[in-house]
Amino acid sequence: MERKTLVCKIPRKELGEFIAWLEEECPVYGIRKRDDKLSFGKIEKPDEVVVGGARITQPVFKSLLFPPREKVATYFTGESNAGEKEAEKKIIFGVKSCDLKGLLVYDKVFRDSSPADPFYLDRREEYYIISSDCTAPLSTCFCSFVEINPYPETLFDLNLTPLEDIILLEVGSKWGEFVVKKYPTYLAQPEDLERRKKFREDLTEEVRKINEGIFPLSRPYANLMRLELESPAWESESEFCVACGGCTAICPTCYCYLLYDEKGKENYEKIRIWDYCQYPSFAQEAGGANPRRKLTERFRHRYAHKFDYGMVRNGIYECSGCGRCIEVCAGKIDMRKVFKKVAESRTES
Amino acid sequence: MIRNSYLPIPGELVKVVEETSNIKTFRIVPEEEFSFQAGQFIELTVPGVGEAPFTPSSSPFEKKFLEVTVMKVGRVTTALHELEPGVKLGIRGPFGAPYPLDVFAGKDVVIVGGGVGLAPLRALFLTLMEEKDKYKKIIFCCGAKTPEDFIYRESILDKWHREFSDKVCFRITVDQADEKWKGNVGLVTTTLDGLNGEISNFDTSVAVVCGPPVMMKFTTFKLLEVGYKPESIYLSMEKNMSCGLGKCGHCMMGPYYVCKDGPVFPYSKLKNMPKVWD
Repeated sequence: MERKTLVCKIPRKELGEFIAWLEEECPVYGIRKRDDKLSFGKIEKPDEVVVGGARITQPVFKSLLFPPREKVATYFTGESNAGEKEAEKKIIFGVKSCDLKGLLVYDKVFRDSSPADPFYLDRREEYYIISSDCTAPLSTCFCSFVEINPYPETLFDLNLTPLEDIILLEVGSKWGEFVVKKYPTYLAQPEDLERRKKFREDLTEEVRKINEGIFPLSRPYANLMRLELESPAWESESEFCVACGGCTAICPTCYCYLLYDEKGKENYEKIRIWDYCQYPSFAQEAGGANPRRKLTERFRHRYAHKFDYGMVRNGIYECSGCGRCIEVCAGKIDMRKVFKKVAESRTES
Repeated sequence: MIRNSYLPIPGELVKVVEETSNIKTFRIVPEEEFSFQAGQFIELTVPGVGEAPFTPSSSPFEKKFLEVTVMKVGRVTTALHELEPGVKLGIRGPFGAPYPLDVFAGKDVVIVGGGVGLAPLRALFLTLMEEKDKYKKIIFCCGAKTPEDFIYRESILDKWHREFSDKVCFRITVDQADEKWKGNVGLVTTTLDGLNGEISNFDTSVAVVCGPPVMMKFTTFKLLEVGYKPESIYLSMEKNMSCGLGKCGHCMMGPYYVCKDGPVFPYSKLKNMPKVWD
């Protein structure tokens, strides 16, 4: 069922003007095409903006909201390091549904799960989000098999659906409403919404086709993780894992981190950096005990964390189906095929 | 403004007690208000070196200072062992769930400790002693490798017997005796022999265990054998607790963050988990 939301439209050829107008409001960061390469960054020229396409390689919200390295405490100065700066608003433009799933996971972990992370809260306030429908899923995409669709349905201020001649703008917040009222738009007509519906159905079908023969699995992931922890498939599927941590670094829903001390300019400081559960010493204690000493155990833990423990703790699969981990893996490990093997292992034995 | 949980409060190291050849107790006076409940842990920072998790061993009713008992095993603990009184340390916390005293009330409490695992049990024991009448029988079982390896030696072998023997039954053992030792010899599990003669109803009795993993494992099995139900056996799990906030992932054990959901767990929550004792 279509939700009752305000949807407007602009002619597609007006996109450049729309971006230029947004830039008058506040700086726009987004997916841009330069020298035929897609990247995320500050939009310098309105015509370099990419509105459709698939997600880019870089997990957009990860570096923005949970930087690879940051100072979280300066010792004994009486200063808190957090909640001190007034946020300057920025627009994030062109992110996809899978990027927003990453954001949802981070919101659950860093904002909703007590105690909230003060640094995350500070940065979360900084951004207006203008997302867009995915228009060209990649061979590694499987978003519609992990609770979302290839088009955003939540967490945006404004979502764009680019069709041939028009762009539909769906309002998701007060600020989004402000934009469609201030910038000259037209109200979307029933036939426009019908076109969007058809476009989205076709897209979802495309994602289904990409994954034909793999999904759906015989059982839900959480059950699979719980019942098949001892499946021999974990051992065989992790055979080509070199524990490089690439999958966790590129993952928009991974959030494990390491705290360490270092000497700052004047005081000792606590630093937080991304950490990788695939590294051998990740769970090791000072005395040498290590509950996940074997690579297979660490490999399996990552899946269990995302699909079982994520469901237990946060009520969601902590995976966006973006397929970046498949794209980056040196051992050519494909999460979808791992699941398939594990799902099949019981029927085989 | 929201609190920054990564920011330690300063505390001065005022006293160091050598317990055994590789275990010391550090007394710290926090410079800001700080309190905890028995079973909760803190992250103790040696500035510039790093932080490590310890469960305070002093009584939570002691408001002027707190004590941690630390075995020298890694980088932070080695640095700690080299410190003299007067240095400034950092304290974050307290973190995690304490021993559920409301559940213990009206029941027998059997405490079983081994080696440096006695640290959190000392905080628990002293807490129970503040309100002795709330509990039925209290049985304190503990063991060490040799008589030289007891931490809190004076309390365990002498002082507490004088102060609390009207309420508490002590069962003390060593793995290997020396010529002066006149008490029991045997693993700590032997202190549980004949326990079912003393506990009349296992529905109104709880057991609390802390010690090295292998000791916890066999003590738990023995307690089950004696008649305890998995939900009445409380274990203090030690994993690589780091952030203390249930986020960084290092202490994860199944779906649990030991730092947030534990470190005290009833065995019923752990029994089906792989690698619980590792």
